[in-house]
Amino acid sequence: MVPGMKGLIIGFDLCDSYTQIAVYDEEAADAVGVEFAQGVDEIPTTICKSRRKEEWKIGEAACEMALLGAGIVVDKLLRLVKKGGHATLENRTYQARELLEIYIREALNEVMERFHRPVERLIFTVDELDRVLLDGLMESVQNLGYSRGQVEIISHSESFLYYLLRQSTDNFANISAVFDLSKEGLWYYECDILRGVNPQIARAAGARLEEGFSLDILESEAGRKLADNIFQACVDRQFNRKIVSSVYLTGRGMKEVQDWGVKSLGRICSRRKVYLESQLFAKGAVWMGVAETDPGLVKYPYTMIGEGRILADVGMSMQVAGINKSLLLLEAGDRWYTARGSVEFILDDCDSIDLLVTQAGSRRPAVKKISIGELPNRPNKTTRVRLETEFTSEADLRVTITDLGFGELFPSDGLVLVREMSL
Amino acid sequence: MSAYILCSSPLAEHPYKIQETGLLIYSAEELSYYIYNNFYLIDESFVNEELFSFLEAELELAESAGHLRRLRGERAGLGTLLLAILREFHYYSEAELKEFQLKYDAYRRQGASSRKAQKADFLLEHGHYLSAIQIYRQFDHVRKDTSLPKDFYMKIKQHMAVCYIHLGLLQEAMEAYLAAYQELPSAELLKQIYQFSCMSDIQLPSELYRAIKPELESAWRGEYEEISAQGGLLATTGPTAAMFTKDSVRRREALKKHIENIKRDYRRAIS
Repeated sequence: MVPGMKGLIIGFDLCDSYTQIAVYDEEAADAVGVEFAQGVDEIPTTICKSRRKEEWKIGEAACEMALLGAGIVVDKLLRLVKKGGHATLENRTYQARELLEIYIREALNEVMERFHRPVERLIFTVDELDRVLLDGLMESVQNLGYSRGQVEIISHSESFLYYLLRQSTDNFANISAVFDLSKEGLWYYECDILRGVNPQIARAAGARLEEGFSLDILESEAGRKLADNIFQACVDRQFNRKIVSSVYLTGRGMKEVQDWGVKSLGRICSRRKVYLESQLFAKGAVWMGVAETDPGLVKYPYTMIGEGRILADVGMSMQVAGINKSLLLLEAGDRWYTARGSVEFILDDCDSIDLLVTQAGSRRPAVKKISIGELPNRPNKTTRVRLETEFTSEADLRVTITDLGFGELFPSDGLVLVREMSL
Repeated sequence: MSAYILCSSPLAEHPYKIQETGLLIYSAEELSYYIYNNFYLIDESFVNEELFSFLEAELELAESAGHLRRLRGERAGLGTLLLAILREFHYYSEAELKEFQLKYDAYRRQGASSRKAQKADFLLEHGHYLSAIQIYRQFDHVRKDTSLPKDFYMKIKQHMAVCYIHLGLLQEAMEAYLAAYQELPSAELLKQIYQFSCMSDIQLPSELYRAIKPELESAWRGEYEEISAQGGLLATTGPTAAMFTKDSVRRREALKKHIENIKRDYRRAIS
């Protein structure tokens, strides 16, 4: 048992078509995948409501119930949430977010019943960080009684980072890569370490590859040959002129890659370590949860930069108790969708607000000027403003400037300026 | 040089009320600004325990409050205390603090009567007419100081008249004007009194009227009519002038605020 660890640390890989779950096993001191049945390490992200009963099934059980005509099924839950959609089941309309909440509740109940322990920390990992989805997911989980501090949402690329950095250091001496083939398509992730800075920067990025690769193609012999050709082309293109130390193959489609991807494997396995790993992202999420729950047990001495992480420091130069200092509002490596910065200051002979943006690994900040011409004219040093920063996506910063006036001496008109900029 | 000054604390939920003006203070920066620009109004009672408690409880500036409390315990003078407050919150630069010290020292070197008059003038400028009148009236009961400039007492009465005009007490304003004229007659003051008489429809005493030459009367009346056509004597002079340059909606708001100000001043003066 990890000291101080009371409940389960769960990694929840939530995709539109499938769900994988992993938990931290204290005895093995490792992240282990949850099997939903013998040899079944994933379930479809599908929910089914029993007819005339307030009974819900998820995954394969949901599909079975629907096939038997005993219930009404809803799939592609994440897409529905992103669209802000709804589904009508037996004359009642459910918001997509409500259905997602029920789905997560049922999935967690299964896990808790199996391990007879409550959830201490819940880390979701998703393939695309969409603001609407993240807000909906967070609201759903909070409605289930989990506090904001217990829950985290990270990207697959970040999960990969956390997973990789628990492996032998040889595996990430140079570039490390993941090919993920599932119903979501073929995805490629890449990670490397910038060692010339202190702390070192671990960065990862991922993208869906353009080839219209689906699992259906593997059904026929001709399709498997075509799949091998496509995959080989992808490998050649991605690895071109790169030194790749290790490659991880994950996803349902990769389970039988030795049958259909002989040529591709030949390329991949050339002078590098290759691993077949199911539930990689769920396990990475578990490691992230362990690191956050007990930093003494698992250390990640890196600035983590991946999809979902801020790529630059955002700050201001400011007079603090009479001395000019740099004030950090947002730090490179923080998660963009939860990072918020706020500061109140007084304008002294200013016609703009200058933000200092320092890209990770760089020392020289770039100045982003924000015009404030709309603020009311007042004597110098009698305009107090609140500046709030938040990201609307990984590279897009929203700055909100609220005029607070100067008490009764120079009351505020309540003016709020909103500026958006790309970093 | 342009800069941003980090605020020393969040805004107070429960503001501090400055007794002299009724002004509510929400931050250490506002307090600094008030002291820097209104030191005429500040006396020893300003730096008090209530102020220290406000700094501690509302602005979470316990260290600063402790420092100031200690300084007051050591019987530091008002100037030292005010400067210590200004230094504590770093709202003003060293250069600005030096300037403050020079102004403050010059002010303190003046006699009590001059300081009192300056305080009243300051209140008048900032629309606290009743409070200003209360101070001007105090000069009625003291022996005249011959070392002061010879127009000193005339200005006291003249400014008092302006306060009365702002409060709509026109008869009292005329009496104050006549008293000013009695203190130190001058053509400039006579012109003011004449034009005020035109505006208020209060007749001038005949001996004063006879002192105005017909050609001067004609010029002064012409001038008055011109001012009157532009919006009235009140609208073109004094602190309310800016209100009349605003659009109708803002003018209404500004007037409402002005009336509130008078009411507040009145409540303060009678309390």
